[in-house]
Order: sequence, then structure tokens, then C-alpha cells
Amino acid sequence: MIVLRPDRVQFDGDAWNGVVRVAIDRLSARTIEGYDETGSFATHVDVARQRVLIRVTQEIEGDDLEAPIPGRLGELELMAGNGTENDRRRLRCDCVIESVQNKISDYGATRSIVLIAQSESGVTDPVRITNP
Amino acid sequence: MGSSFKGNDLFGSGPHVFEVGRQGRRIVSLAALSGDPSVQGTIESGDYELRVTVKGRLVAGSESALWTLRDAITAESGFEVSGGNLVDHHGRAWNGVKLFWVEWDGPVDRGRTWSIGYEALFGITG
Repeated sequence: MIVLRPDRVQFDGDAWNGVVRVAIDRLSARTIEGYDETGSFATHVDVARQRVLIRVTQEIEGDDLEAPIPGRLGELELMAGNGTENDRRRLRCDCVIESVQNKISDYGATRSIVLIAQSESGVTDPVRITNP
Repeated sequence: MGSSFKGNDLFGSGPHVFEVGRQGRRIVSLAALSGDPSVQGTIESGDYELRVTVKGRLVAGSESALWTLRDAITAESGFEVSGGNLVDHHGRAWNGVKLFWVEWDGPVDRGRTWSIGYEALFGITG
């Protein structure tokens, strides 16, 4: 999932301004591949554990002494879609901040925040997309 | 064709392979036999007994269905359970073998399916 220039981004109630993109990657944390004696190809493949990684990229326009702290748990909430009201979707996800990295160049500063999603029950998808 | 033990499809829910253990003469160290490390030499002590290991993964559509598959295998490994014929995917048969034990490989994996790895040792005793 990719969200470009979301309208509003909040984490644990704090507004994150200047977010230019949010990328949500789904990775396998445990892949099962089983092979039989009938041929060379896997006959059973499953992903038993999934990791949902969220990367938030912010453009920073001035001094910022309030950077998010790794390990903090909260709900990430953003509004996606900039067309009509019907196109707008609210994305919510409980997640933990894993890392916060800043890049500064002559052209400006960006901050990349990586979060790992956390499911309430282990069964439900931690990323919830609803109408606003 | 599917594999079987005593005519039952114990392992067919998921991928599994057969491995035959060491075969031939058993060579035993005289030092080990006597308990005296100064004794030199070895002797032949019969042949290795047949051992066939089945390694694979049971796959089911629910937690309870997976337990049914596990219980069916475990039931064959009891002390007083009789042996039978083990047949691999290609029709190779080992007659009169017993299931000595089954070992589960870690916790149950719960993804699209419920599955667990295992190693089951079959063989004969002299």
C-alpha cells in the first residue's frame, strides 16, 4: 500500500506534519516451504508469520526537537485520497515506532519513521481501512 | 501414489520424504565392548537394523483437524501397537516395521493453513 501526500497524519494523538508519503509493506516473518518426493517443486508453501512495516516520510521545514521515540506504541491514523469525498479513506493501525532517521541536504531535510504494526488478536489485520 | 503405513494415509496431508538409515555390517570397537580403552581392534556384530525416517509436515484446515492428524500418528507409536507395512510415494515397501517415535518440529504454524513439521522413526527390532 502506498499513500502519497495524505491529508492528515496522527500518531498516538500527535499530529505529524509534512508527511509526503506512507508506504506499507507486508513481509513474511516465517515462510514454510515443503517439498515432496515427486518432483523438484515445493508442494506446500505458507506464510505463518507476517510483518507489516510502515514507512512514513516527512519533509521537515524547520528546527524540530520533538522527534518520535522508538519503542512507543500508538495508533497511526491518516486520511488517504484527495479527490471527492467518496474517494477518501481513513487508515488506522496500532503500531510501534522502530526507527527514526533524518536526512539533511542543501535542498532540505526529511525524516523517515519506520513502524511495525501490531495486531490486537494476532488474527485480525492490524491495518484497518474504513470510510471517513 | 500416496504413502501409507498399515494401509492408512498418515502423512498424506502435507509434503513428506523418506530416508533410509545406515545399512550393512555393524562394526563394534573392542575397547567399547570391554570398557578398556587399551584394547585394540574391532569385531563385526551382525547387521544394522532397518531404520526408515519419515520427515514432513502435516497440513490441516483447522486446529482440531491438525490434532486429528497428529493423534493418528501418535496412536501408532505406542508400546503395544503392532507393526505393519510402510510404503513410500513410489511403492517401495518396508514390511513389518513399527513406528518407534514421532517428534514434532516446533510449534504449530498458523498461516493460511495449520501445519506442523515432524520426524517419525520406523524400524524393526531383532
